[in-house]
Amino acid sequence: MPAPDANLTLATVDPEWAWAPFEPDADHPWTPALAAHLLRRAGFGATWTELQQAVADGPEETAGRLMVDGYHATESFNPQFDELEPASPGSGTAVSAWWLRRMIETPDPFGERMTLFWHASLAIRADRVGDPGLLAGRVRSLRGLARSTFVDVLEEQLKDPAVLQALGEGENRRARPNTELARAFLEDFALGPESVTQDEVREAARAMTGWFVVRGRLRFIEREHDDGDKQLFDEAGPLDRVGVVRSVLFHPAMTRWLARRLFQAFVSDVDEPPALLTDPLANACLQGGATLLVWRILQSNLFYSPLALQQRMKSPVELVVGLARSLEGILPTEPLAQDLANLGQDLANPPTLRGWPGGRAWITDATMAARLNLLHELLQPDGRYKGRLDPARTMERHGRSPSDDPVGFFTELLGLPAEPDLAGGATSPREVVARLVARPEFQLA
Amino acid sequence: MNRPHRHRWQPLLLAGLFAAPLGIQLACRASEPGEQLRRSVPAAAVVCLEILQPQALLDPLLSEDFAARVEALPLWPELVENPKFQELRAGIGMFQVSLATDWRTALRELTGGGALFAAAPGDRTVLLTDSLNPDLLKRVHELAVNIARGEAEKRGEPDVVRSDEQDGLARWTFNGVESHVVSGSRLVAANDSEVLEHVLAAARGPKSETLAGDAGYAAARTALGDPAAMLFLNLRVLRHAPGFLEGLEESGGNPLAALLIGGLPDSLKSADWLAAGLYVAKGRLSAQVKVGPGENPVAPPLPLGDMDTLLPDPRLPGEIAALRLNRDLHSFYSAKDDLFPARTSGLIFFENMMGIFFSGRNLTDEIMAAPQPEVSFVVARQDFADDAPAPEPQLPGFALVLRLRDPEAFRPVLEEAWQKALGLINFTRGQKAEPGLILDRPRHGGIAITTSHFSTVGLTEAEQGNIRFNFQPTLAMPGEFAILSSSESVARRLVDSLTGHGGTKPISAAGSHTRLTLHGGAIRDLLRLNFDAMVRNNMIEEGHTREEAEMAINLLLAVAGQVNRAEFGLGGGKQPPSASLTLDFAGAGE
Repeated sequence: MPAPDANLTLATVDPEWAWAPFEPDADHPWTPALAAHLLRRAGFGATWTELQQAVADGPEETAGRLMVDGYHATESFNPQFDELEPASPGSGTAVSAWWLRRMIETPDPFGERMTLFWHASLAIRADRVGDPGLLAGRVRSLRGLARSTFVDVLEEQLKDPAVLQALGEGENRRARPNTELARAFLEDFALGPESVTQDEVREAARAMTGWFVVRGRLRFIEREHDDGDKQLFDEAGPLDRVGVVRSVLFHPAMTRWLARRLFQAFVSDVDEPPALLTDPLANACLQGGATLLVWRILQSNLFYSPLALQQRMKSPVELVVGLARSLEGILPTEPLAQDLANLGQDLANPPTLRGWPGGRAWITDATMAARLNLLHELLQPDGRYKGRLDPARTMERHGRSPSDDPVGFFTELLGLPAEPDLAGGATSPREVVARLVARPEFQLA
Repeated sequence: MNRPHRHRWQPLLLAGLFAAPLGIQLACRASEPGEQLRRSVPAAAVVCLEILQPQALLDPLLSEDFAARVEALPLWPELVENPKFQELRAGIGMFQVSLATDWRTALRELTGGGALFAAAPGDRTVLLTDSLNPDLLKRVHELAVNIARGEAEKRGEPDVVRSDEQDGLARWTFNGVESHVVSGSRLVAANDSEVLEHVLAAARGPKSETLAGDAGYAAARTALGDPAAMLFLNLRVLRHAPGFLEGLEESGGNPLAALLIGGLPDSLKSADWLAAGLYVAKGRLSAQVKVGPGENPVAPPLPLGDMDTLLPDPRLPGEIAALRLNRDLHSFYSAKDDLFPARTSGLIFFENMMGIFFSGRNLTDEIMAAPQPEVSFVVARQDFADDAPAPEPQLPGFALVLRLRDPEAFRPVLEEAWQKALGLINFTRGQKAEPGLILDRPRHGGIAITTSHFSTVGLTEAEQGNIRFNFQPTLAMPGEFAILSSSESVARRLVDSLTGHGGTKPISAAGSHTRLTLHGGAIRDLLRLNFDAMVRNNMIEEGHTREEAEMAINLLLAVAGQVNRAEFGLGGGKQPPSASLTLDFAGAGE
């Protein structure tokens, strides 16, 4: 890895260098801080064991374990968890609560990270879906698609009753095509608004007519389908919903749209990514889909450079799930789902079809105070969170006495930069962690 | 005046726990139990808890039977393994050896003369206890002094125990904040030295300025009879506490809440005191709450009628709870504009819907006047046919039982309204493409009942457990009664209950206008039925593992298993408000 210029910015960095594989050397060694960075971005946060393993294995093997081995680890975990999670949860909050619980416990944090990525990129609201069971089914479906190609994911959106229900399937008739569904699919899910015209929205709506949700299931009513000729991008003819997906398949905006979102999710959401950097990713996307793109990002010089390190704001979910995973505690997730909603991330009800604004929007004076309050509450020995996060136990679990340098232990575990007096003189593990998570750096992913 | 660290109660608790009784030799001698303790408490106290019959309370708690019940709890093995519990057990062992007595005997002797805890405005609290064994109290205090000094030494801190003598009494403090004296058989422990001086001065001063001379306290004692313990709230003082009146206003401003609690908040606004007595009999724990009326009522009583009769307990098979009320809905609703001038949106919605269901009839004079004041609300287990969907969780059924003034005239009116309501439900569900209710008119107990159930056409396996299958809205009108139930099986059992026995006429309720009865066995059955759903909820509400959640629900089951029956009553109307609670424990009288 050549020494990056200290004055580099996303706009001036050389794309070839940026996306070249990161190879640690004497000048740029593989450190616990870099390992924590990888585990935080690709999952939510690391346990002490995972962190030590990553430090020993290096970046490539660690990324491989996250992206491949994690998937195999869910073969026994997910069915057991599915059995526990009610098939018909009573509310959107219950859906969120069970999902948060899974994020904290899963042996496949990358899979849940990608599920959350898709949920935030193809966002529908529980209060528009109506039936919480449909939303729970949608999250399960996205989990199954976590490592799929973008085209597969898009195709499934038009088969998901939750999506149609949330986007006005009742109007999906030949005489009155549902432009809300078509606009959401083209502008918000697939291509971005600047690449779609009103005519194209209308044509796509015509192609998707005839599909309804009846008692939670998709139903095709042929007489309500407009089987006339349509023109959508490069596709022409009596297109149906499959034709709509086919029409966006080779649209150059689709890969650019995905590349930009993945860049913001995994590299930096502080500044708008320049096309110079995202175009190479978009080209790669054509060759293998989202997972390959993520793999390339996680292996890149850019990912381990100052242009990416601590250049993302943690969303409230990342903030809390990461802390819980690192401290190996299970939280009461029903109150947690409500507290996260108060912080602006109601998991069941994203504010727009493109999810949460993210980036700097997460941090305002009010939300910063609320985030610190929540972290403080999570670390209390009692109260709403019942003292389930117990830093002393975390240390003991890894053979450390609570008095054995808790500041050093938790600074490394939480991936914070080592600085003098980082914990403000605190000595007990609980106080140390409370001080560390109150630092501005902990708000950054 | 600043009182630093007033919240540091550990030393006081130490004194209170192991040295319950106190003995200041007071000049005053009184014949009534506990009077010497009350003689030391200034009349300005707002909250007083007095243990009048310590043995009556301790006997069941210290019995072998109670110990066996506690040890049978699912949590017990885990508790025994808990290091803090083991520490406590070792501490008790050490005390037993040091004092040459067992802890049960020590507790009985240390608290046997009675105890009184009082709190006054400004965070002032005092605990007084009388011991049956002054020598034991003295030794316990010496032990506590030694422990406090030893703990300070262990922490490398200077000796924190201080004492000084005034008027022949040694004042002690374990932390420089709390203050206590031990004299003869009595311990007086206050949360600071100034409070202690007040208490000691009160004991020397005129009786009229203490609790022993307080007319309200004496009236409360008389009203409660002979309780084992008594809680007294001085509402004349408490009324001035921030938020007290506002809280009562809030609870009385909701029409439904006002109807349910029968004007209790208004009574409390003008009352002088509220007192609760606790009574212990074999296998039964009961409580009585009485309110002392003030001289100047701030509000007229709610227009709820005479309120002195109730429907008899329905005693349904599978009954979980029954709430029986006496409420003259017509009088209450006639006065709604005066009672609730700012009408809530809920009330407006209610009136709009009633207008639709009852085809524009006058809600006050034609609908609210239709039922007699005796009303029951019943919650009971419901039965699901083998070939019907089994919802998860399985909720209990509930039913409202009204007694009609003119059954012949009102039955068709109610029938029409009921069917309209079902039609409205079907219409709104149909708009959302959700399955609707299918109406039926089977006969049961010699009458036609209007029942309904959700369609099962095209039901998938995943939908079998849908929560909607808990509901089969049913209307039945046997004789002079109208039953509006969420469950067909509960409605059928109620028809049997109301037509099969002679005891359906209202009974005299002896001044009680509200009676809530809970049946422990049926609650246990319901909990068992929904065990898995409750475990799941517990996991996400409490952050428990599955094993921990199962343990918590098992504990709930075990605790519910201790109570066979609980009955809560409210009285009042034209009389001063009163409340009662009776708990019958499992295995009582065996």
